[in-house]
Amino acid sequence: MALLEFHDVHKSFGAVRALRGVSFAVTAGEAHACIGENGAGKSTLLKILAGIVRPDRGEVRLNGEPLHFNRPREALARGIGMVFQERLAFPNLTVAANIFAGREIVGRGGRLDEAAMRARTRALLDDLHLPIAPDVRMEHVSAAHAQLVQVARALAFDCRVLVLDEPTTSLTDGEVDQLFRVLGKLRAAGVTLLFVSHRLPEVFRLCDQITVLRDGACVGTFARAGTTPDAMVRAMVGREPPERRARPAAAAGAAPALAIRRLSRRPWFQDVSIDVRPGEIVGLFGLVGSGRTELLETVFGLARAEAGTLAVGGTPASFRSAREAARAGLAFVPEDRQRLGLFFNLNLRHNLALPRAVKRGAIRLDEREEAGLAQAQIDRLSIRATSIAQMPDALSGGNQQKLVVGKWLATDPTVLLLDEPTKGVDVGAKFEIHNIIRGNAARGMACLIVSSDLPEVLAIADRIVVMREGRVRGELPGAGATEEAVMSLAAHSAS
Amino acid sequence: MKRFWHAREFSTVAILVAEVLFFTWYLWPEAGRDHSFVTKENFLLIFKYSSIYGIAAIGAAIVIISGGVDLSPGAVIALTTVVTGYCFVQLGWPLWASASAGIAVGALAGLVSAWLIVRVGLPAFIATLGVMGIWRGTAFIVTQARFFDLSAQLPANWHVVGVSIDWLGPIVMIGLAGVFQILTTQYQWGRGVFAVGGNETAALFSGIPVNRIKTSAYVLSGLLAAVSGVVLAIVQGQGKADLATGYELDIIASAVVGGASLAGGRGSVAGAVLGALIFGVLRNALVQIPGATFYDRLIVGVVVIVIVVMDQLLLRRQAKL
Amino acid sequence: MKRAVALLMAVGISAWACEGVGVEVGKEPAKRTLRFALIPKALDIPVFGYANVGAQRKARQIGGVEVIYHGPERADELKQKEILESFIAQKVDGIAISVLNADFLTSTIDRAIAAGIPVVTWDSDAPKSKRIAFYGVDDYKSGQIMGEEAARLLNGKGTIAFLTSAGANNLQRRLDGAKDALAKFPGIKIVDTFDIQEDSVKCAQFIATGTNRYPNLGAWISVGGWPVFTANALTPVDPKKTKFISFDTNPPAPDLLKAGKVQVLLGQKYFGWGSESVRLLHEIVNGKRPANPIIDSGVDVVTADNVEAYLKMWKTMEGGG
Repeated sequence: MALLEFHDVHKSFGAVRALRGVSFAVTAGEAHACIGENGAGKSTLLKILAGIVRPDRGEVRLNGEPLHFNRPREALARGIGMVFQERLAFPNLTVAANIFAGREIVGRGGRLDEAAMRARTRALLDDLHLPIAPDVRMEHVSAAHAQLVQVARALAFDCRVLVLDEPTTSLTDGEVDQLFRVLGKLRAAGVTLLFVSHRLPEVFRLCDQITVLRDGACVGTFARAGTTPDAMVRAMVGREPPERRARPAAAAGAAPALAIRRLSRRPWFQDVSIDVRPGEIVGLFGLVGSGRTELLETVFGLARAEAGTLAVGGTPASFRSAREAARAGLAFVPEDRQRLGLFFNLNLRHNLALPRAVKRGAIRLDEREEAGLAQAQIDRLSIRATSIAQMPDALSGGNQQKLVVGKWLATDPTVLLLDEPTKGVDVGAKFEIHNIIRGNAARGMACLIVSSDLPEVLAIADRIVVMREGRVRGELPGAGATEEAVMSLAAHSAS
Repeated sequence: MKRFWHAREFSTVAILVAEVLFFTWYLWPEAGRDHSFVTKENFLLIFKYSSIYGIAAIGAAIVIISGGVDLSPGAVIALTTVVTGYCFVQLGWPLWASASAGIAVGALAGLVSAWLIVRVGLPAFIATLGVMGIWRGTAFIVTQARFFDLSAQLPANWHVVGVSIDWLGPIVMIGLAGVFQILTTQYQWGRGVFAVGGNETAALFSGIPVNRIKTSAYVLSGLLAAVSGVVLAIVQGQGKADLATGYELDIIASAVVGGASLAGGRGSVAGAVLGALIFGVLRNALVQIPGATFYDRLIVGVVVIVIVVMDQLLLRRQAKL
Repeated sequence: MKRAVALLMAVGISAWACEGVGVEVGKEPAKRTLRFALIPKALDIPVFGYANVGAQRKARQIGGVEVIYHGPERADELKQKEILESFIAQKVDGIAISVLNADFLTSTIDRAIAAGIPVVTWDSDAPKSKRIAFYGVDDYKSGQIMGEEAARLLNGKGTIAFLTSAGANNLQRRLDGAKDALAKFPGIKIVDTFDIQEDSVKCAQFIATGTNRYPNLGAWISVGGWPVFTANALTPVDPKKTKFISFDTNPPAPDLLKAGKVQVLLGQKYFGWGSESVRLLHEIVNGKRPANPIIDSGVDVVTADNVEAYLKMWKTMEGGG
């Protein structure tokens, strides 16, 4: 019997029709996935469920009874637990206060019962095997732990349905395993799961039923047993995924475009040596916290190394600022495009033209040249935008990411550093970004890609360097490397 | 006990104590004189004038913790003195009714700010900047650039149950600070204020009534500024439109020195009152130092920056622990 | 914990330092220094600085007197009252104050007198208070002088416009004096009175628009010094057609007079505000009260004939000699 049922849900924001008649049902006791590209309507659906957004039409039924959307807390009160992404935490409050935010335990006279909340938090965290103190402020908790605290939050109250919104985005594989163990236990206890994600391997590992959304409409609900990941990708994208283009192998004997020699910046990384040759794509794999992001930042002049040397195109280099690095031909696409990659107050043209202007130290900006440059990048990277005067927040996540890549490609770099270039983008955009990287490598650019997405690293890299705890633990050729081989280098405790 | 040493209020208390000790030493009298700084009368004076800022700073702290800012308390203070004066002098209402009218007007002023911010969606800085002008202007219109003299109809050297009326401000300030310190730290509403300031989206997703909490913060800010205005009107005996001009910045500075972060989510009511006292001691002691008058503003500015920088360093150290 | 240790150390050091000073308290006191407070209306009005210069010079001349100059940075009556009360609480030996708002400060001045602290007022009086003396210009009389000088310059025939700032009692009295004096000359017509609202930028605007409206104006009379505090406000005025008479003689006013833009300046005894106040307080402390509580300082009438001599005197005074 259907426990949770979406019935013909419509929602528009202005001219944008976010949901156009979504109907599907989640049966009691099952694990149900809801997948779709960014912009397919998943987050609107969740907001409706949480009572933050009211649908224009249609209803959501729990146990056959409709939810009243004028009461934001009703879903929560009626036993729907929501696990939000870790960015939906309160950094200024303690872990215990986060878990009980909005639903605090109160004693006599409405006073907060801190002792009870702390004890309950302690028990919940122990259940999840989380080594976090209830009194620690959330801002001091790692991203992965913060995500698991969100799970604890949903579990703090008896819930029959647990809704998880992209819960694994910032988790390492080990932590994903831990989360899934917890979810398995919950299922055994009879809790129904609604798992919102675009990570197909996880969906296939966890869920029995898969509902696919595309452009605000329901494509269909499929049983896991009767479908394949490729079929799901086709259903999500609505077209065949772009071909993976073959690419000539990099010239093995060429002099390195970027040579990192015994670079150290404790406590993040030490004694790191990596070469990247022109036309070569080097994948830098490791678990969260292995020092990869910090390495890229140091190479790009955003932080100073304690020891070690750099050479770009055979010339020794030591950058005191990102601008110096950019002038030497480096480009850096950071992980967090929302915070570090784009200026959301500037339009596409200005965003695309900025690094180039900074690199050249331009004082006066040539509007026409800028416009030409921006249009060229938009065409070349097939960024789906209506005009160069559009603002970046009107673009989907994948197109935003292409924008970040594009603004750096406009500087004609010889070395491209990328940090998690496809994190949080949908499948179609992911293929396109891979093709952009491959295309530039084919033209002789040296690419160093940090990624936690192992299939991605295996698919794109000519060579894989594995880091663990700030040190390089090994190197594998891209062709023929297996997930097991890479993981054993990345995850083994020092022997 | 450990929690006490880590509380942000503790470092504010330490700064206040250090400040008082410093001036006690610096202003140690020459032979044959009484100490001019450490007297009961002088401490009452510090409390009396600090309470004007301190009472309003309680509201400012609540607004800042909720992630907003209120630039209108100076104007609301002036408007309240004028309304209280108008009711008491012009209309001949009893004092309690006049004071209630003043406080009601203050709460209404806060409600207007809240409406502009929550319903119309203006940024708090702009909304309260505009509102500040509206209330200051209203006060001038009511007084026609004159003033209401309450003192003529209030008893001279007024004592209530044996306590001088000068104690009104300090008593109200300490009482309200206690009440709101408890409300913000031990009650659900206060937790909601911190949550909204820490992450408004997350608060929405947690089912916290974000709009109601933001509204309550601005209404309280207006109401507490009005209480400060009523105390001012009674103790100083005047209702005048240009009173407290520019005090909003001193009030915000008090809250910030007391640990409030303009980024929201951080701060304390008790800290804000202590911050007001830190400035009160400074204003009082500098009067005694020859030639200090020109350094007044500079010293206040440096104190704000030094205390906030210290706070940042402490936070960073805590983060590393 | 570290913070607690640091705090204890601070307490310890302070206590030790106090101890060191405290030893001297036991000694037989020498003849103690008298501490007088000099309170201006505001620090941002330039003429009050000269009062401080005069007071410091007088204090050095008398010996054994220390003058503490302290005022609000803007004309803020509440802050002026706080400063006055601080000085009372700290039991200075005498207070000289230029009163911003007489009604507001009267009771406080009376409290100082009751506490045994002599108070004199200067520049701006609180006539209903128990202050012992007032030193300043007779505003009505100086207004009369301005009117008579204007009539002299115009040979008893022509039009006159006034610049004033509404609401200030002393300015109103100057205006009354000037208008009364001009009433005796039937050939003179007063065409306009502009309220510049204590704003020298607005003053410059009014002079420009007034010159356009009355191109054949005989003379301007400014009962305050706003037009002569800058070199530019008078640019639109053609001295061949229109005469200019203004209050205040502090720089750069004499230069304007030498350049022929202004014909008559009335100077107050800026340095005397300070030196006379200190002299009065010193005498009062030594048991000698002034015979008449109102002490007319008189005004300096500066014209092209005596401007050089006036400037020479100014330089000596400003040097503090």
